[in-house]
Amino acid sequence: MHLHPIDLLIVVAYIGGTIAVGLLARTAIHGISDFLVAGRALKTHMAAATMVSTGLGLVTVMYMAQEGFVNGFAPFIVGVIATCAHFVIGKTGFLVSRLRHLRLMTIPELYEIKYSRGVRLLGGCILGLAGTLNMCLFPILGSKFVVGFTGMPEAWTNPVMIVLLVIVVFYTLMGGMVSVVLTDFAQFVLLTLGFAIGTYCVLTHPDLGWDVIVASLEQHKGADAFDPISNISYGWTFVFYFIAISFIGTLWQPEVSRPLSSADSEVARKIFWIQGLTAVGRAVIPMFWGAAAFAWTHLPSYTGAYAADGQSAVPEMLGQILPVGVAGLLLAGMFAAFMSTHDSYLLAWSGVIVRDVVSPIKAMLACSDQSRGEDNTWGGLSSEKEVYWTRFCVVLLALMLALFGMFFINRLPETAFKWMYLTGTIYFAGTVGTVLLGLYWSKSNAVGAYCALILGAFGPLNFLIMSMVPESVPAAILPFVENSNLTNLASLFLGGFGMVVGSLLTQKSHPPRALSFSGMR
Amino acid sequence: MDISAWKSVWSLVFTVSSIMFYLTVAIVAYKGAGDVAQMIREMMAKR
Repeated sequence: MHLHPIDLLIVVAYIGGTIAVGLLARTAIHGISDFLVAGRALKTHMAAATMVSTGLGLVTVMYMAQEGFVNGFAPFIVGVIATCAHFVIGKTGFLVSRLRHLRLMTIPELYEIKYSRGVRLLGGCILGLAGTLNMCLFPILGSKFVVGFTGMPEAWTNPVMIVLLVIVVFYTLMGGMVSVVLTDFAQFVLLTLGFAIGTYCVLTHPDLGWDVIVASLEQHKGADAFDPISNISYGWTFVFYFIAISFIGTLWQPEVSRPLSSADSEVARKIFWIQGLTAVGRAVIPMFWGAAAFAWTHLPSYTGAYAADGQSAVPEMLGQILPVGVAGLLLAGMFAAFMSTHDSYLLAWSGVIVRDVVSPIKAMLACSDQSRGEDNTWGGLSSEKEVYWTRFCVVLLALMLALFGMFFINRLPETAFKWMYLTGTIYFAGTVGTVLLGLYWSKSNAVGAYCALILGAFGPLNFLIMSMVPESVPAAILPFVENSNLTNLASLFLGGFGMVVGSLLTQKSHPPRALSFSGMR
Repeated sequence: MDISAWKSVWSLVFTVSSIMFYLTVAIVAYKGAGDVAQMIREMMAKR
């Protein structure tokens, strides 16, 4: 291990401070709305900081960096599209204003208000499945960063992952969303400092710099490293898919929980506007690091172990080029980023599983009313029980993540970046019908919602299964299995199509429920 | 577009996105620090 004691001291001080804050935050939790959405009391800048932080986890840095390592600068287009989408949402309040106005905690709650308890249950199951699969890569990628950065032996990857998970679970169990908000803010500052200094070191290193990186990409990858249209991993199909997903991506539970936690709809919109200013940088800076790591591993003087491993090459490069003190600062920032994303996601998915799967089942068995109580519950579990089971699910999910990291990481069908969007689409495709059309099309009904959820989830799940047995795939559906771009785009279309056809055919037997947005700012 | 045009575009995107990112973070961190301090004060008071 080549980490200096001063760097270690910085990391240990950060971890100690974080745990103290988690203990302090515990006193602020009095019910499920405190635990999941911090009592809906977040102001603009704090909410923006926490939302940017959640989107800038260690896993984000890792999968964006891997994308830069594999595809050069071509994936920069992802950041440009994301920023444009955030600006449009911030300006118009598209989706978020209406969701915040309805005082929701999770998206499947909308399904109960607009459609039925059964739709909420199915939507909760699909969201929980998509979220869990999506998150499976997080701990192992975080661990790979720590191992690569510090120069620990590669065999320590799994034990390091377990230690990191134990710390983050403890922290999340303590203070719920209040802890999340406070860690996010620390990460926001620390990681930005790390980004700035790390990028400066890459640009000014005698063996690297912008021109060297560009020349290396051109020499080894050719035009594909710069042109996202000619690059087979992207192309127009991906561009169209990513434009759509950048808007629908707003509905990802860990992301949407910030606008839902905000003081009002106006704050919710402002958060997106501010996040838009950072969205392109959050993608482009780690991708640039990935491209730099590619150039680094192709230097004649390179003697490291990760020349073909885009996930580990970046931390290895950073660990070697950063000066003492800065390395500790970046590692603390990355650790904060690891915690920030994990606590947000663990909380979000556990909240969905308890509030949108377990609680509705209990309510259905008890035949209780489909209305929201004063304590923000829906006739199933009580507020205290929901907090208890959410905490239980946090632990259960962490165990699943550890197992996935240990046994599945080397069997991914594509890059980590593509895995994130493929698994996310299991849920996003259904929301095109259930949420987008549900909020803006008065004829959307429960039957349409079932069709949207089932048809939308089918494509990505089919891709995941088929890619494990490629030799058994029929020739007719081969284009949908060779590359996830076409599957993802087609699934978004199917989600909307299912809602339109299902609703139009059953308007009389299942009259749509109207939502009221009067008084919305 | 040919490669040299893409290189110029990405160079510009990298520069502009970095400026936007760091500037926004600095402003948000400065303004949000007060909110965080207030939240911690309120938690301490409850304790």
